[in-house]
Amino acid sequence: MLIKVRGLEHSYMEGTPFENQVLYGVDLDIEEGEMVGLIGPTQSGKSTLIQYLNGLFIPKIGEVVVDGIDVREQRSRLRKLRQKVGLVFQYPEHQLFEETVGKDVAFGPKNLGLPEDEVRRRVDSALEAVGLDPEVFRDRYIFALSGGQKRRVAIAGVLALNPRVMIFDDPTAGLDPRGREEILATIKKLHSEQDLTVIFVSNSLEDIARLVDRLIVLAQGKVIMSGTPREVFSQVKKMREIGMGILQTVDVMSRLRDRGWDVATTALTVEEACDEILACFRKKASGEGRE
Amino acid sequence: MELSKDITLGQYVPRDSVIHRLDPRTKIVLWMVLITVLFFIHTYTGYLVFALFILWVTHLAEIPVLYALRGLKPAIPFIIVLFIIQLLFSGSLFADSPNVVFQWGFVRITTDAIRTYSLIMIRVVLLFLSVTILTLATSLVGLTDGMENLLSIGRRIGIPANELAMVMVIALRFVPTLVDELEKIMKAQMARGALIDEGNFIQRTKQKIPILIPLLMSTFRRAEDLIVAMEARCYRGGKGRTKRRQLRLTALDYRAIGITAGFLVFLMAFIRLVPPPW
Repeated sequence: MLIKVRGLEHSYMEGTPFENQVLYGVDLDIEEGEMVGLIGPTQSGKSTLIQYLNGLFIPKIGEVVVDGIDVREQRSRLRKLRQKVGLVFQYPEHQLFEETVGKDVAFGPKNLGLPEDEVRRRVDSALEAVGLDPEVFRDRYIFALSGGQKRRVAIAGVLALNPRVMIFDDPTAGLDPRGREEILATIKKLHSEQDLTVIFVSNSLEDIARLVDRLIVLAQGKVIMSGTPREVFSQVKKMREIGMGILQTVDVMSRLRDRGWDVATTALTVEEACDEILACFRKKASGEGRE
Repeated sequence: MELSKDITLGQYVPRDSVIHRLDPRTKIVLWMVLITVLFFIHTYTGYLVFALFILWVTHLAEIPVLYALRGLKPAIPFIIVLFIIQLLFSGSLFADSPNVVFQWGFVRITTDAIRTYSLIMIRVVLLFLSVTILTLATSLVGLTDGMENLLSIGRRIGIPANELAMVMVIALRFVPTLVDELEKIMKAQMARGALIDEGNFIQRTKQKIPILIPLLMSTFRRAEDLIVAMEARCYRGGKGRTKRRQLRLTALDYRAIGITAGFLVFLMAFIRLVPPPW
């Protein structure tokens, strides 16, 4: 088990009139090499939870174990932990601060105290991994990049630490459709080519349904469901109850089913839904033909 | 890591207390008077009486005292260091004081110095607490309206009341926002292995750059957003603008003014009766 969370609780503004508990006993397991999606309505505690996974928060109630080491006992080695678990925040491009792409990506590896040539090697491979040609982009000024490019530079900045786990907090927020596609493709590639364990937090069910092996649903500070996207999205009623809504395709298919169409409701993509409906037509046609 | 927990400046605790219900103008004026008076107190007992009054107001405002004092927490190291430096290097100011506690070279600590600087520290704490209570118990809208109304007296001599009030309120309003932003940026850089507050002075200063630059940029981004939002709502200052919520002094305000006046008279008498050093 790579990451194990047990009974984790968290309150913001503890001891003030604004105290606000957001996590109420979260249990979570993540295996090496998994591609996990973390979804939940706003205020469900997703962003808080992921900050526990790389030691930005230290558990007061509950435990977090990463790679066999309890985060509470790892206090002096938090940097090691952060290197192991890379966290890409929402709007990560806002954290860029250097003039050029190469310098900014080098910030992480330099913090690790690596020698110059190793830093350079890591910068190049991180840029390549996010689909930016190092030769072209290394010396570009950051302000001259597009929004999607900036975001990929920021992701490269975390990748350059050579983490085993990458956590993305809503990585497609605020991007145009093309930017979204590029980021999603990048994440998919990182998972398959670099053997990274990926935790993907998203508000877009459509994005997540296509990408992950397993979905974890967080609501009101607890994990309420975990399973393959198909399993989770088949719980139409439960998903509606927690205010998550469901995939548009699942929505359409379940309405068709209500009207007596013999279709499976768990189509995760438009293509799948299309095939399902066509199959239904074919069945109907051949049935009528026989009569 | 959670920075916002210790920042009380610019926060507002919504309650329905008598203090909350006071006209903001009453609060601002009384608060200014109290703060002025604070600078005329030179005895421990005087400060004690003042502190009791402020604590009573805090209690009336239904604000936990510990929360109000919380904002002081980040400043405690500065206050202590300042206190020590003053004690160590102000020997010459108290050269004629006979009550020497400790002397070593030019370091000369006298009871008079200890007294003077202790009083200053107490004053700083009380000043902070008073300001905090005002902002914790007054909504931003109230604060703006009150300030604008009070400043409008000077409109004839060209004081842009609305604009000044707006500037002050925006500044206050953005304290919590920028604290959140700062926290996010610090965390993002820590996630990239950044060190914070480690090593010698030069290293520490260098460690601030990856945090300050993004913070500066986001401040400008927010400022620009705010400008656009104000323009979109046709903001053009206070000229010709009327208010839906008219400020009106009520019996509660007169009572507050009376009580504060009574307290000040008592305080003055008390200071006379209990002369220094206590």
